[in-house]
Amino acid sequence: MDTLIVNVPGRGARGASLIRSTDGNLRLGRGFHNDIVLDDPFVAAEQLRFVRDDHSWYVEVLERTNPVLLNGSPLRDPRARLNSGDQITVGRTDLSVYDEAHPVDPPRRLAFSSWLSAHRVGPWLALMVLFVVGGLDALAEFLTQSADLDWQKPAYGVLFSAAFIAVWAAVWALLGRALRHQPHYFAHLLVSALVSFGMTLLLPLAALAEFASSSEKLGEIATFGVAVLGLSVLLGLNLFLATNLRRTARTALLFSVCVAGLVYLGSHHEDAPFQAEPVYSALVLPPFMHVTGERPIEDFIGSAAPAPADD
Amino acid sequence: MSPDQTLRRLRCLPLLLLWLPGLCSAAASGASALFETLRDRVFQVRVVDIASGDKTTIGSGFRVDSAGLVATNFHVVSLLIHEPAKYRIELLGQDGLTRPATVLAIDVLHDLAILRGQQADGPAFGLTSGTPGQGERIYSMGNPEDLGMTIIEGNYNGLIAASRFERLLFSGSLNPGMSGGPAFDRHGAVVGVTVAKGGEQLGFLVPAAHLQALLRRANETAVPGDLKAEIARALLEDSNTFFDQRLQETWHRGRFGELSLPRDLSPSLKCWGQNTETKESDYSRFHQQCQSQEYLFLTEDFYTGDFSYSYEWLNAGRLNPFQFYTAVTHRYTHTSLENVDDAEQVTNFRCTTDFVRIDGTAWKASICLRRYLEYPGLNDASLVLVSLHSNRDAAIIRMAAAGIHRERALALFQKLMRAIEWTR
Repeated sequence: MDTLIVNVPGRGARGASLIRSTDGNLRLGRGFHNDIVLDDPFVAAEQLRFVRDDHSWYVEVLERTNPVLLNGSPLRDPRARLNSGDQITVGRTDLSVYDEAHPVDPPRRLAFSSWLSAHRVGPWLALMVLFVVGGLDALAEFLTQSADLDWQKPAYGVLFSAAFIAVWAAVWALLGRALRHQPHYFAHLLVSALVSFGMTLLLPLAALAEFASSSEKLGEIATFGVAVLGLSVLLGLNLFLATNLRRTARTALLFSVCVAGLVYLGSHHEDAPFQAEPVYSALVLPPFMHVTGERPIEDFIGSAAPAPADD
Repeated sequence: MSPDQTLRRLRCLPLLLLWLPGLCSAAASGASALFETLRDRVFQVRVVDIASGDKTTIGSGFRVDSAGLVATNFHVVSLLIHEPAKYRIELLGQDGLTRPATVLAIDVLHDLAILRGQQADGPAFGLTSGTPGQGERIYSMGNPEDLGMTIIEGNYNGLIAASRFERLLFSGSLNPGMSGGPAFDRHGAVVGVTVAKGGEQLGFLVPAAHLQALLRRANETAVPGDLKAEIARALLEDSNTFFDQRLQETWHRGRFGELSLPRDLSPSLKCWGQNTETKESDYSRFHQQCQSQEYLFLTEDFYTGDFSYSYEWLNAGRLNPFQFYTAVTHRYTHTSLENVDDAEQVTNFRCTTDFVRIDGTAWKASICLRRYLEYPGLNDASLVLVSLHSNRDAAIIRMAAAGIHRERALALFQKLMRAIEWTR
């Protein structure tokens, strides 16, 4: 270990700093005469000295007001040998030390987010996509849901959704600015708009599932499934753009499942145990979407479930 | 005109000349005379909450037996029947004295009850064996709105045509509180028991014949049995009889849209039709619905006996298939029975929904059933069907019955589904 590299993490808006040793010593402390200056009130003016001795590096503790931890354990000896990758805690600052030969992980594959990384998403692209997606959404809703031929309702609905997407993207941009110093606002806007459109395309599948099965329970589950899928994809991309998290897809999926679960429980917790009106699948789709078969009358009558026995 | 009346009229003439009022107007003094004679036979019936000592329900009743049997409506005393530990009955007579009473017999189908009053003996009303003439003057006594005993005059207008539970029409000014009171002719013979107010100068009476039958039953039983079980038995028997008739009859058919559907399923149902095609709705629909007009009172919050069916035809108009079926989805609803909203009386509905083949086409069908908790064998049942034969037209058919045996409900629904035919 000829050269010692000390990684001092950044605070606030500052990024991390890497300090390379040039000769056999590195001094660390709050004082400005040190090689590594830490702005941490719990660190002494002269706190540590890194010493090179015969191709190995050692850390010496110069002041013991507060404990110094090496890899999580308090350092009691006046001098300890360092290995590449060791973690040192002084005051409230965590440092790590490396040598030049310290192994690094192979590069992570970007998968579908490679495009996002390779291209800077400009405002025109994002806004155009949002506009087109919004228009298609409103049109789709009008053509499939509007039994009173009222175009205003879908239009206002889409405007509201677009505003919500703009705010969502802004929140993630702020987070990205704080964590990665890169807001990527228009990238967030673009992915949010695209995912929202994806949901518009997929939600009818949930409706089809309910219609085909004549089960409102299945329809509800399918709707939640689509929502979880959409939310996972969206959060995965948001997290990728805004944070340095390693497992963005997994985190996003877990979070989405938890949120969906809580929403489901919350909505059904409100249900009174007694309901004066019947609960049944009322969804009717056009005949060409009826692809499952029909039962004979007697069969259906024979399968009619009796009223609950003990409610 | 009877000899009595003729004599009275002749006596009046000279007295009219002498202008001595008070001895004339035999018709006007009819009501007052009857009131004076009969008032001590009529009571205010009170259901009293034992805990607070205050009256919860009031109605009227009248002595039908000199030993102190008092007739009233079932709905006046139903609270006591359902919660005997919480309530008691009092009879308030014209002498200002209250007497305790107990329920001896009930007829839930005709909304009647016989009470046994303690120290309530005295002269009793007689029940008529004949029927008054249409339009004949009859009288009703009772305690409207707890204001005191009154007598009102009205006209007898006979048996309501095609009523399932037999009611007489009384064109008089009945009011709440008079329920259970007697309606009688000029001789004081009871024609019916006041049961409900129908509207302005419109009231309903239960024919005296049913009171006669109940009185016979009451006299045959010294001790009242389990009244709730009696209610359950009577309801089930009547329901089974009514629906067995519907199942056995051959249903007439009529054209409705492109369908041939059963019609006139029961004379006791009233039917209305409507065509709704407005500028606001971009699709058109017309419908026909038939509904029973009478209900059986079980408690203030629980009615039964409803039977209805309806047919609806929708056309897409300017809507595309998706828009049209969004509208159809909004219309694909079960009949709202709205007869009970109490978890202690009924279970939740349990529904079975699936696609069914009816006369060669696919229909989406849904059957929902819920059970009565205190009346074994009885359910509320509902069926709704929607056709899936066309992107531009749809038919929605509904049928619902409150207080029906499960097997009969399913048989009825099956009969209806089998009866649906396409005309083209």
